[in-house]
Amino acid sequence: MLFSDSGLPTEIVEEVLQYCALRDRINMARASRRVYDIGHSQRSSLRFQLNGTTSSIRLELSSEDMRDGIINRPEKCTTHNLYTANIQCYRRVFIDAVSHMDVIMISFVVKCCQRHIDLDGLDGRLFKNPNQFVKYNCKSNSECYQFNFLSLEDAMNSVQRYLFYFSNVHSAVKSFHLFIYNTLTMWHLLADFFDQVEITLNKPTINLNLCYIIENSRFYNSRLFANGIKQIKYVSNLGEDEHGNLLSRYDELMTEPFYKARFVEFMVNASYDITDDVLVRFEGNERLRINYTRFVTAKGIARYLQKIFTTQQKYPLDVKINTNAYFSLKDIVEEISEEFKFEMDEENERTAKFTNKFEQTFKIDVNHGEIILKSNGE
Amino acid sequence: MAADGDSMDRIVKIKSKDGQIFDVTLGTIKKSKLIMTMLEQLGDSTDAIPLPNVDGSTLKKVIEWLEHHKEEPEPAEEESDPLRMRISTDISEWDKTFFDVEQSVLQAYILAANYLSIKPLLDIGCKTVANMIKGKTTEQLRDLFGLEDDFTDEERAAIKREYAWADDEENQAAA
Repeated sequence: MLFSDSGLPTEIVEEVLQYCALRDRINMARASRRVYDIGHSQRSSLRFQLNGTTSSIRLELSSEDMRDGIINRPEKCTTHNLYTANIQCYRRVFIDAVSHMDVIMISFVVKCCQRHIDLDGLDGRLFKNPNQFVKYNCKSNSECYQFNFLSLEDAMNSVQRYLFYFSNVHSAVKSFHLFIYNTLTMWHLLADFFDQVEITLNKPTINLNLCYIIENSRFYNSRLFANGIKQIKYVSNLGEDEHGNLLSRYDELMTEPFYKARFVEFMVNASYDITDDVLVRFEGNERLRINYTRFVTAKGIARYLQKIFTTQQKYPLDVKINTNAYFSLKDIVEEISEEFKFEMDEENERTAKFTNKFEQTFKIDVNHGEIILKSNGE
Repeated sequence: MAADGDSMDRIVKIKSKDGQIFDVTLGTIKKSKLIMTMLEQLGDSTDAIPLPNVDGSTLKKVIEWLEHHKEEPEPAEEESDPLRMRISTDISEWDKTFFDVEQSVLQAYILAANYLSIKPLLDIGCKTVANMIKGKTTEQLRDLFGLEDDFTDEERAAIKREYAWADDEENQAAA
C-alpha cells in the first residue's frame, strides 16, 4: 500500500505531504509511525510543520493613498512608496526542550520610481527564495528588512512566496492577524493565494480600516475565513456626506464567519448601514459593538433579544449598540412575544433583567439610542 | 544529446522489466531525464534501453501519458524549486481519468515516474494522492491506505499533546 514500508519511498511521501494542507498533514502523521517519523525527520522540510513549532503571523496591507485604486502621484514624486505589505512572523521553537522565540519582520514596499528603489532597503527581486533569505540573511530578531519593488504585482508575488514559506515550511501558524489599511488593491492580488493555500488551522483575526465599505463578495467568501473568524474589527472612515444613500449590502454579502466571530466591532461608518435584518444574524459573539447605525429599530433589537432567549450563549455576553433612533426599553419589550419575560427595574425604567431558556441571565439598559446588553453580573 | 528538429522523430527502443520492447519517438520520451541521459551515454546504439524497474503494463501506460503530453513545454525553473507553492487542484480531466486506478497501480505509476525521472508525471501522481488524503480523519486515512495504528499508548498520548494546539475547538469550531 502507498504509505506502508513497501510503499512509496520517503522522498515521495514527503512530496505528497507537501501538497496537503496542514490539517491533512497532521492527520497523516497521526495515522502511522512511518509517516510520523518522515514528518519529524531532521531532513524533512515538513519538520517544523509537524514537530510542534508554531508561529503567529501578522500581515499588514496598507497604502499611503486614501482612495483605493486611484493614485494621485505628483509628477515629481515626493514620497518613496505607494504600497506596503508587512509580514511579521513570531515563531516559537524548541531547542533542547527550551522554548525560544524567533522573529522575522519584512516590509514589501512598492516604490514610486527607479530613482527611489535603491534608497533604504533591498531590491526585492533578488530575494525570491524565502528559505535562503531566512537562513543566510536574517541574523537579528529585532531587524525589519525592507524589500523594494517597482511593481505591485512583483511585490505581491513575493509576499505570497514568503507567506507560503512561513506557513508551510517555517512553522505551523497558530494565529494569523490580517490588517488592511486604506486599500483592498493588495488583497485582490492575494485573494487567489488565500483561496488556494491554507495559512492557518485556526480562526484569523481581522482588522479593517478603510475609507469605504467593502462590497466585494469575493472578500467575504475568502477561504481564509472558512474556518471562522476569531475577531473582526471593521472601521470605515467614509464621510457621512460621501455615504449618501449608499447602503452597504451586508445582508447580501457578509458570510456566516463574520456574524459568528467571537469578538465583533463595527466602528464609525462601517456600522452606519446595519439594519435589523443584519443585526439579527449576529450570534455566538462574546463582544458585539455596533458603533452607530441609522437603521436599527426597537423591533430589530426585540428580534435580537428573542434570539438570545432561545440560544445558549457560549461566552459571557457584552453587547453595545448605538442607533440614531430614539426608542425606549418599553418600545422594545412591546415587540417581544409574551412568552419571553422581562423583569423591569422598578426604579429605573431603562433597565431590565431576563433569563433565557438555558437559565442564563442578562441585563439590558436602553438609554437615548444606546443599548447595552450584558450577561448578568458582568 | 540535441533534442530538436528532426531528431524528435528518431525511434528509441525501451525494454521493460518483463522483456517487453516498446518503440517510441524521442519527442515522446524526452520528458524522461533518465532515458535522455542514457541516450547520451549510449550514443548511436540502437539497442533497447533496459528499464529493469518498470514492468511492461506500467511502461505502456507511461508511454501513453507521455504521448498525450508531448507537446507541453518543460516545467519552468521555478517549478523545480523544492519550496515552491504546491497546489493539488490543477489536474486536467484527462490526467484525473488516467490516475483513476487502484492504489497498487497508482503506486506503480508514481514509482515509474520517479525512476524514469518524469517530473510532471510524478507531480500529478503526488497531487492525486494528496487529493485522496484531503479532508479525511486519521481513522479514515488508516482505512483508505490500510495503515495500522502502530503507536504505543505512550506515543499516542505524546502525539495528542504535540498537536493539542491544532485541536483547540475554541479557535477552530466550524462557523
